[in-house]
Amino acid sequence: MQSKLSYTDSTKQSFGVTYSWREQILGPKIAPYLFIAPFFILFSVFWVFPVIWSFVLSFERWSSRETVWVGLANYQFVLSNPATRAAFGNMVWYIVVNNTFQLIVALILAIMLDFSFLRRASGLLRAAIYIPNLVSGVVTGILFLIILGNGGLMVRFFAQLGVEISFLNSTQFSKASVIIAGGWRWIGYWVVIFMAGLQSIPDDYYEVAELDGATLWQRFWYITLPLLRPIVFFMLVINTIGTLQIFEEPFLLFDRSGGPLNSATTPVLEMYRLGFENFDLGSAAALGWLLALVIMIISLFQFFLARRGGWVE
Amino acid sequence: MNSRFMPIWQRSIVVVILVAVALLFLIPLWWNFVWATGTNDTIFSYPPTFLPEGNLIDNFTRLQERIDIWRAFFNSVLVTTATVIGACIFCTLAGFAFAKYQFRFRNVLFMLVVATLAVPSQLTVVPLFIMMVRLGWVDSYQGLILPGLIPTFGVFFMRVNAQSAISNEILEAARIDGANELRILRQIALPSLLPAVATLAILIFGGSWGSLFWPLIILRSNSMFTLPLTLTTLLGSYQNPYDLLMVGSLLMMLPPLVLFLFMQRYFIKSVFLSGLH
Amino acid sequence: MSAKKGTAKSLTRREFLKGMAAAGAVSVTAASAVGTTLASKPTRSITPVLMRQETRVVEMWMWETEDQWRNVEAMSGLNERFPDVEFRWTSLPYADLHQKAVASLAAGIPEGLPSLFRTHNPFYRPLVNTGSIRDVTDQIASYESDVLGSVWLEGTIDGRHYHVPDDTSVLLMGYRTDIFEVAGLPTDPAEVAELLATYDDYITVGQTIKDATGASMTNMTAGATMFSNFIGQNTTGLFDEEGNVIFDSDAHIEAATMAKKLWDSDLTLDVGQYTPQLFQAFKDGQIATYFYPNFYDFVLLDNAPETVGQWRVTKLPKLNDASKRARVDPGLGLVIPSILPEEQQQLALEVALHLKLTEQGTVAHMKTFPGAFVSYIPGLEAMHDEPSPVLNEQFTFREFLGALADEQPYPRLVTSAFESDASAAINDAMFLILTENAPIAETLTNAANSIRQLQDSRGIK
Repeated sequence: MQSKLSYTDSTKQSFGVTYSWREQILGPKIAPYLFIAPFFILFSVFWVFPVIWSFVLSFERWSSRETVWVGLANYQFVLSNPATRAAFGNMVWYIVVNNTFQLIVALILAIMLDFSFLRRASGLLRAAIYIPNLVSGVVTGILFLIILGNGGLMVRFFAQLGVEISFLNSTQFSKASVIIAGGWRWIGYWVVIFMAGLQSIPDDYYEVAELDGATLWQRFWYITLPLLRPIVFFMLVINTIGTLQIFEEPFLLFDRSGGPLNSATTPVLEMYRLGFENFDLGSAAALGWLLALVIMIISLFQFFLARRGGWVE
Repeated sequence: MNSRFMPIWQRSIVVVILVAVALLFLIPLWWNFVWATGTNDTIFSYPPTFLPEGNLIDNFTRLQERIDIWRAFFNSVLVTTATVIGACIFCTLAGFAFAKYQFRFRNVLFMLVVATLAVPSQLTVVPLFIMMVRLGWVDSYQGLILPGLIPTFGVFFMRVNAQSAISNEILEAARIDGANELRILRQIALPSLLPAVATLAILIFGGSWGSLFWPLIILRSNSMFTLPLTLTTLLGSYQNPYDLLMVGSLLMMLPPLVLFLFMQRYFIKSVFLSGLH
Repeated sequence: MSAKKGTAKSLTRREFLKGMAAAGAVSVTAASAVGTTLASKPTRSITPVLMRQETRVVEMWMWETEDQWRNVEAMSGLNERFPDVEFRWTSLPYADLHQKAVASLAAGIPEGLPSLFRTHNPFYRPLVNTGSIRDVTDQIASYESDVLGSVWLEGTIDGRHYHVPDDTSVLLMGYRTDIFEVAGLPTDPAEVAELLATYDDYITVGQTIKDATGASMTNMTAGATMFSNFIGQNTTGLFDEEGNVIFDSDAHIEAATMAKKLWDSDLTLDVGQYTPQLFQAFKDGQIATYFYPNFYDFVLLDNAPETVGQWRVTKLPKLNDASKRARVDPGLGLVIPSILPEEQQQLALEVALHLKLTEQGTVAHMKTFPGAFVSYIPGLEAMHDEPSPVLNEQFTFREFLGALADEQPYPRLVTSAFESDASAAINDAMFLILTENAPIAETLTNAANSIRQLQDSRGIK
């Protein structure tokens, strides 16, 4: 490791080793900056201006002739709007149900698909579960309209069992409809993500544990979960954010509305209506930033808890 | 997970559940296929049929006549491939850096990245569009590709995967051996991250391939439209050729699926943790 | 560190990475090459018309397909009339088009906007309120007598017009002659109009049909669609000319009461418009009548062709003595962004006038889009002899135009910026009334007040 004399790293002084500029740049002190640079350069170009622009817009009343500063008026309007309140209210339900439903089902499926005895079949089954994520929104809407709509398959099925139920036209089941359509679309997505992490745990670990007498559950709880805490954390955070930003499913299922009596509406859907139907861009931006604030608080809280529990380094 | 000692009855249960779930997920897609083989007035017959008819080729021919699907396919392939490659590179580098290095501003910058996930994309569309108009990139490939190269969830994803898949001991050992960071990246980090990179590639491919909103805003000539956009132009207010839409939808699903199946070979169990060199 | 790990596996990975990098480099170069060639089209810029004298460009955003618009372009003589103009059509389905138009208007840059785009009237008022579209009152004033009365009124905001009237939609009562025959009822349109003179008669006849054939009288969902049908015959919709909320008026309460009566009569099938379930019901002969828009011939051709020849149209029943026996739905219009340079706006306006307010333009339109119903009377009259492909021995244009002339239906005013909120409020109100037996007058008043509150809090109508 002989090299030109130019800079001396104090920790290596006792070895008498010095480093060239090339070695420094590629060393652990400077390399990280290089690694994050490409991403952050583009990021600063394409994010900074849009974020600032939309934030400023949320305090203005937009019109083609002139844009007037109105302070917090948009925020007040949005907060007092019953539809928006319904949207945020629905969110509580959505987060609890969506997170548990999608993530737990995905976790279970991923574990099952990871069993080594399945070999090639695992890939095919995984593909089958993932494909729904690739279907376009319009087609998904049509499919679920036929399944869940009035006179649709599920309704008829239940009718034959003697139960009269309406999915898309009732206030009780409109949210469930969104969850069903969303689950079909996104469970495969989470399965794929979780399995990426599962690949990083060699089978030997499990073998050793099993030979020591560990049951399936114990292997999962004491090997899989601890090693994959970061990934589970990731799934939790992203799924929460994704749930808070649900838009397409209710948009397609309820024909651009938020379900009967706003029972299934979401903040982004309301944002869309404010912006694109009422053409009230300032209020739409205000609602968007309110939502962003809520998401940031929740995410920060999740990060805080995770750091405390050692889930994230 | 290993399953060498798993009794047959347990294995059977697992298989039954998985197959049942897979079928459940596939049924709506089967209808998609069946409708693609039917004609417009029969496809929505009720209850839906399970048997395909024979009009697939015919529908496909008519689809090609109605819209320029090959041009759209080409556009989509170009944009998506460039996006996937660029995004994977950027996210992997950044994710690895955040996971395995300590540097100033590390936490702040990462929080910034996560914070942007909180901002709904609809908010940034208009200002992004303004930027694109001023740059003259409306209706262009660069306009389509560049904003898609920075999926922030990708950085987050690669970070947590790097955390799980690469142990600090190996990195230290390599550094003591005198490897520089670039080498470490190439020979230790990337191989361990292969399943994660493959996964990210699939997810970004799926997202970019099916993306409708941004192309809708930025494109103007029908010849530049990507596949999802061109397919939506089939539906007019006076005519709704659902049979053609279904064929198009099937076609659209094929490339991501092919990529997914191709990527299976990179979903290999890591051998690094158990054998150092 | 030797490369002793040069097993097949690590080489494969290296190959993979190299391959990816190569592919990446190739596709990036390819993309930029293709991109630059495509982007360097000389006519990319729309605005500096003053600088380039060769061609002017008119870009239009519409729905339907580009091919069809090219057809219109050819048939309507646009190219003869404007020989030095290049026409570009961007066609997208309506919802997507609207998103694109709004986003482009919001950006506020002329280069990002088309010369013309089509919009649906409920979204017209917000565009006017924000000053995004051009005032065209003076230029279309001379056409007033040639445009359908209801459409003209619909487009008027504070006495001014901001769009060139495009298509409109008229509704009459469509009925199945085969079902009526089995039930022993007359099938001649004049006789059926007498038979179904009021909505109470409608319900009575519905019972007869149900007893004789088992078919439902029509389809109805737990929302405001049926209510909308009724109020269209008696009022200007949800708002009056000044944008005041009116849906708690007596006429509206009467309409809601009748809707409830119909819902409770068990004579309707609970399926939505344009759903597969509805078309199957048509094919199965489960629905005896339908609120038939002028363009429905082609919807039926596409989705339920077995029923061709089994339908006829006649006038709508009356809700009360003041009812008109035909109604209109909000129409479409062509609008011009107001921030474009004046010269570009002028050209766009001339093109729009040619397309929508000349006989050649409108006939080209109606021949390319079967079922379309423009707002220009001479154009409609020129289509008088087009037989209907679905209705039994009737001529669509004659029937609907005739009904318009006889009945002079109310315009469907969309004068408020809160039209979509009002629709949602009414939908919720009718949902409560129909499914939960909520008191009609009270529920409607609450809904009306909620919209009035919205208007007050925003300070605009």
